[in-house]
Amino acid sequence: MPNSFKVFIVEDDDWYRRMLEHHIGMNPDNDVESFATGKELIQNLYKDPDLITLDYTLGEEKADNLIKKIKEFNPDIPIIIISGQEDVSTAVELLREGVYDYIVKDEDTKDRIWNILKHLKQNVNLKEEISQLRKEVAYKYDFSSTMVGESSEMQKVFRLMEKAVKSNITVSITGETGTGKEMVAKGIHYHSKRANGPFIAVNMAAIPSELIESELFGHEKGSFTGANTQRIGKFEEANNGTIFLDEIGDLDLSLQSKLLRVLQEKEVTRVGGNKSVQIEVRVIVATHKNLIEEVQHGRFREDLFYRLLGLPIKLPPLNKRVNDIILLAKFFIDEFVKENQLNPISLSPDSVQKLLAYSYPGNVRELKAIIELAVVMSDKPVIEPEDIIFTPKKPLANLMLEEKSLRKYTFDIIQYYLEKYDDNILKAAEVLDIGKSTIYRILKEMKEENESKYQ
Amino acid sequence: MKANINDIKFDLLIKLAGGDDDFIREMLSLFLEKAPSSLEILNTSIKNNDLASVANQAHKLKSSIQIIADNELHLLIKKIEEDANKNGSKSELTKNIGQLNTQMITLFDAIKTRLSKTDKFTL
Repeated sequence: MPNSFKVFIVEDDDWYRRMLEHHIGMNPDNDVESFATGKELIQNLYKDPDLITLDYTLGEEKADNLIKKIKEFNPDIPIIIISGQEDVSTAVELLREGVYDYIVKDEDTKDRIWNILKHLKQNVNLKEEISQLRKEVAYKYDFSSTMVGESSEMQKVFRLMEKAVKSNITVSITGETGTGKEMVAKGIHYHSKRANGPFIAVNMAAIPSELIESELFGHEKGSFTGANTQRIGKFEEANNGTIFLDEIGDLDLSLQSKLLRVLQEKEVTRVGGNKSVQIEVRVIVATHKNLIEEVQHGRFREDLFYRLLGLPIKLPPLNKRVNDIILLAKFFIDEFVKENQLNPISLSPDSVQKLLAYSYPGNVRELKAIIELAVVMSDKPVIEPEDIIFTPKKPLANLMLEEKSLRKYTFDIIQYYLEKYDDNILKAAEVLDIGKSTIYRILKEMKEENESKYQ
Repeated sequence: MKANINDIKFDLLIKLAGGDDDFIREMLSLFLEKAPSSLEILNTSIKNNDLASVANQAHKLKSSIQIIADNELHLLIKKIEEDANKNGSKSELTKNIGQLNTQMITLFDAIKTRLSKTDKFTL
């Protein structure tokens, strides 16, 4: 009987046992099995019932002993006591022992059992739903299949993630915007022993500084104007799980000392409160800033820096792992096609070249957006260069932000003007005051260089 | 307990059975099969002054009587169980058990009469 709800009835009165069988069996989803003695019940517990109804006065046997034996076998099986007499003190005592409910045999027994069954089934369904969702989330963040990268830089990241999941060590992730820092944090959490606990992400840069203390540590009612109710903070929410503090480099100095104390003492005190709450949380932090420089400039506490450094994982920018661009592009195509139930689509050789020639200031996040748009724009089973739209344009001033060779500057300048004038080579040549043939020659060199990188 | 067996309607049993006539017949037959022996043990127990056994048999009969019979008989069996449990007066218990026997015979007759009819059970 698939998805049935297994109910065991234990009742020594043959007549009433048959009555209960009828009541509970009226719903065909219930799979009912009944026993006249506690001994028979114990012998059948291996069948893993979803509910046991137990007659309180079961001949010579004491219900208390039987409850204890059931709880020893599986503490999660709900037990309902069905008693011939209403005895409040006994009921309270049994409920304290972990009995789910105590009901009296009367004309309303049937309705009460049905209500309990309804609630229990809802609970079972919720538990199954949560378990299924956790499996799906774990799959989603299964970095062995969803984080793509064959480059040596990414292989190093995967090796470090595998080390991180085996312990509770604090992990510090650095990398440019869009390189997948939160994805790495989730990947670590959902593969660690804490996977069944919560994953709480807090972006320090997105919360106003005056609210961040209350957000992280919670507050007591009336602790400040607007604190109308007590609220637990993100650290308490993350108890027995992982807290991901994104953009940690943006945390105010004044709060850095409080965070340091929380990490050292493993307890938080809510704003306006005087009682500390024990927490057991794994910490993963991320930043796009260079924290060593922040420490040198006095903007980040040195002691906190060393406390948070833990296992450092550096995510490379996409333009530093050109070998992964097409691999990632194909992965995003497959994912998008699957999610939207579209026909399979591939990249033409020219579109591969176009993707390889771009610098991706927005990193993997930008590539994903470009690919998804290209799939949508394409009318054919092959993505052509015109389907690939790079936006927004990289400001020319940014070209000077990193040190590179003159040759690379030349490539970037040519690329910038081609993007600006929608691949109009004549216009780009005119603006740069060079010949068309020079642009063609540079494009050919760019292509050859990218091909050699990709091979 | 109603003196006339035709006045016994089994309303609660019919309600709880949810329109299942076969189940009503099964439960009435099961009562006829099980209750007389419990009543007999109860009678022997009071003669032997075994109040624990009286309470035990009264407890067993109570659940089914509550559903099949009327409130008067249910209160009587409940009182017998309570009095036996607290070692109440034997003369009171004997008097009540005597009343129980009379009313149970009426109930058995009412059940037999109703089972002999083939029409549906209705409220």
